[in-house]
Amino acid sequence: MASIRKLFASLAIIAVWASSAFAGGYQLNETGAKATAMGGAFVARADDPSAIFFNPAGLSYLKGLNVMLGGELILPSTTFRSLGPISTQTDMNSISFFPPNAYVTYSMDNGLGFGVGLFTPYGLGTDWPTNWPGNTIVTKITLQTFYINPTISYSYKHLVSIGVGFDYVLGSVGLAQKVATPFTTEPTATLKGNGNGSSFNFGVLVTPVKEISVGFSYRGRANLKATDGTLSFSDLGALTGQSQFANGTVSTSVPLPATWFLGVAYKGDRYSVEADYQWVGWNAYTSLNLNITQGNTTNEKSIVGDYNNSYIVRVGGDYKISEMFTARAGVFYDKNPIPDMYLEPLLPDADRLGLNVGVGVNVTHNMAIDASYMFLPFKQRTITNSAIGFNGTYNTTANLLGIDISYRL
Amino acid sequence: MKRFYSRAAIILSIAVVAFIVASCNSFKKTPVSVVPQPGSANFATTVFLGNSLTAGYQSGALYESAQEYSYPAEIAKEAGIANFEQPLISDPGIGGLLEITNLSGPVITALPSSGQPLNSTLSRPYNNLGVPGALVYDMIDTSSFTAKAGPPRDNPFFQIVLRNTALGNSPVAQALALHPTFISVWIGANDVLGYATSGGTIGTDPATHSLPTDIPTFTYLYTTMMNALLAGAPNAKFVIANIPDVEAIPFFNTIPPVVVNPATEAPVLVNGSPVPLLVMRHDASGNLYAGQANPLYDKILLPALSLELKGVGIPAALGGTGTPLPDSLVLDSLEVSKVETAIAGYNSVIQSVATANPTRVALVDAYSVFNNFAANGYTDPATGVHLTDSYITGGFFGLDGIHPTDQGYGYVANMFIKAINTTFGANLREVNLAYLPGSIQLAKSSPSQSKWPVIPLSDWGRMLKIFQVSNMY
Repeated sequence: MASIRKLFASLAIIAVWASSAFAGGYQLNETGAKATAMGGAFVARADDPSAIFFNPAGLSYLKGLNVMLGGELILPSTTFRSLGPISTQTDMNSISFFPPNAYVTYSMDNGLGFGVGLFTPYGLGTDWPTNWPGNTIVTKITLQTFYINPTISYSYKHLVSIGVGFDYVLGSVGLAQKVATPFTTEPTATLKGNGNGSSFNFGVLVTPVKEISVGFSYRGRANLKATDGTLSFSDLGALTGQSQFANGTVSTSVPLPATWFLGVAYKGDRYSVEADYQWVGWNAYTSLNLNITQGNTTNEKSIVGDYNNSYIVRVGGDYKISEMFTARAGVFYDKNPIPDMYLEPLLPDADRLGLNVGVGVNVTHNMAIDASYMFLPFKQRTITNSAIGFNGTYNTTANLLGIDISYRL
Repeated sequence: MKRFYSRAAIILSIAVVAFIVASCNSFKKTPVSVVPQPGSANFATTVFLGNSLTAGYQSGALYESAQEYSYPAEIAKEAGIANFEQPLISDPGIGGLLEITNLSGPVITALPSSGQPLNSTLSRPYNNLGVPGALVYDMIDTSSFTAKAGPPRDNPFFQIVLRNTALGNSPVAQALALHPTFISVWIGANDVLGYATSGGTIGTDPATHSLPTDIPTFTYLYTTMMNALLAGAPNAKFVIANIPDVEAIPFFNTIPPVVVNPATEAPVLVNGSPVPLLVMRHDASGNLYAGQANPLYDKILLPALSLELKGVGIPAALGGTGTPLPDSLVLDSLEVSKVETAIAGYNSVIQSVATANPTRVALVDAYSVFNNFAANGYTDPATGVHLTDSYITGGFFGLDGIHPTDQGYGYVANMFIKAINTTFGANLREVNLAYLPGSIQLAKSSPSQSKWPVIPLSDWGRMLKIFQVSNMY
């Protein structure tokens, strides 16, 4: 009978957090519509204000004052099929994101360039039905980051240019999941936190001859530190008031990995092409540690990810149809960093193929509009050795629409 | 020179594109077939015979939401059995589904038996022929199953599961009418559970109606049933399970046989010793008397709680009524030994059937599995989800203290799957318990001052009726 008083002492709060992670390839490189339309192969050209993201050395070659404003509409679609002779399918709720970008640059005739950019190079969102089989792993997750990136560059005789910048990172993370209990009542645990961090970036652009340029850029790792996050519970029903479901606080640090681009571009009279290799230091994600405090009790949960470093190969180009219109296209192949056993529905990642087209329109002498469309199919991925015992097949495709408006003085 | 760069750029681009395209041959959504190897078994037409455990009875009722997680249903999912049909009953089912109406206590009440059969027009026997309350006798009894809905058995489930004599006039006859390739049999628990859950007052022994089915009768009935199945489906493979120890279920091990302080839930100590409850029990010669419970061996049944809350069984000196708990709510040490003797005898018979047919029959040692579970619980290796045999909090047994929850039935399914894989060389995957939903009913309700789990005796009586079988021969 002693068990009756401690009726819920054994309800495993551990089960709540055992499998949580803000995991995976949560990188976004779509920070400018012109670059995106060419498959993101842009480091060796970097000839619009999004150079602040792709290669700050490109700032020196812009002219005068430039303002660019836009964003990328992301529309993902994911299905999960359970593994077995009789398989059930879950469709992720339809969701959309619109990470914005904004750049202001000023370039002087003496080779000096300045600028500041605001963009979202890391972000994530998944939204599963609340009654789906994996609801104790995740029902909803969001990760948002904003990089504020003041930058300076200098070019020497149009031969070599270098740029450096500082990143101030703001971000928010949110996770909702169902709590495993023996009861038909399934409480929802919600974790929210805001954080910040910092990093730096630099780039080099070499133009040995007029037609050829070679670019390299690097952005260091940042850690998004959230120290005063909150843990709350809802859908408690008759479980209201049980101490396991008291509000709490959470602190964590989400790694935002380092990355570098290396590319070479050829510029003809009416067209240009570029090929890039991008490296992403995902081994920065070994595990995510969450410190959860409820009342006087603090539990640390470590969520192992053991990601691998990964790469993206990009090729793209443009063709100038007229003074007004430029057509663009590009492709990339993005190798996912997540080992099979750590793939979770938090981030159903897989190797991706990006197919991009776009158009640039010089509306007036001073104003241009760039638009891009990306079709992003993911490889079908079947997990049979999940570390948390959640095996199945994931299929994802995404459609991305980008637009940027640029104004030059 | 310019032409050279131009060509180099184009060639490089083409090379990169080629690399990309070559890397992406699997971007389409394609079927992922995970068909288990059946080994020497064949699950094309599989039928399950048994009692409430096979039917998927849970927390006092047979209802659709639980039937979807019955162990036959789980095995069917893992074996890829198509057209697997069960006698589904709409929620809240039939039997009186128990629900926690207040966690402060908790207070448990029964929902009305308002479920309706959902699948009653199926023109063939069900694949799950588990009948709550069924004895081994019922498997081969060809007398009117409709009559079993009336007194003395008052069991509506024979009619619901078997429906029409044209489909077969007994569970075994209906199973064989399916021309099964694989047959699962888990029967016999009620031949001792009826006795045990009545505190040793009502039995299925044809001579006395107050003891467990005697072993010679059980032996005759069980072997007759198995011979009929083995001969009637000469090419079928079988999995059969033996009878778990009743001590492994919360119905018998939740209420301690000593007085407990409701405020602290610790045993009350007088002169440093716990105080046994007052009970009606038998002495070594079988004579009933009012006395103190044997704190080591007597089992106080779960329904005794409602009386204990009213002071029954508690000495007057400790604030109780000083009257003993009735015989029907106490399984005393003598009765426990009769239960254990019966189970050992039944399991010996079941073992001998498996031993005699080593290539056709896989044996599930439910007795050992349940005892091991009672001792150690179960911890999911991937998620840490932990199940024990504790009432309510353990997560394995539902509110009736006898039947498993969804997770519990998943564990039972894995017990069968392990035996099938071992005996027949199959490779069915086991059910992933961590991602099965919690199934103990929890309702919203107003606060209560009650300190103990309260289940009205009337609700227990209704629920237990299907076990308390008498005069059925």
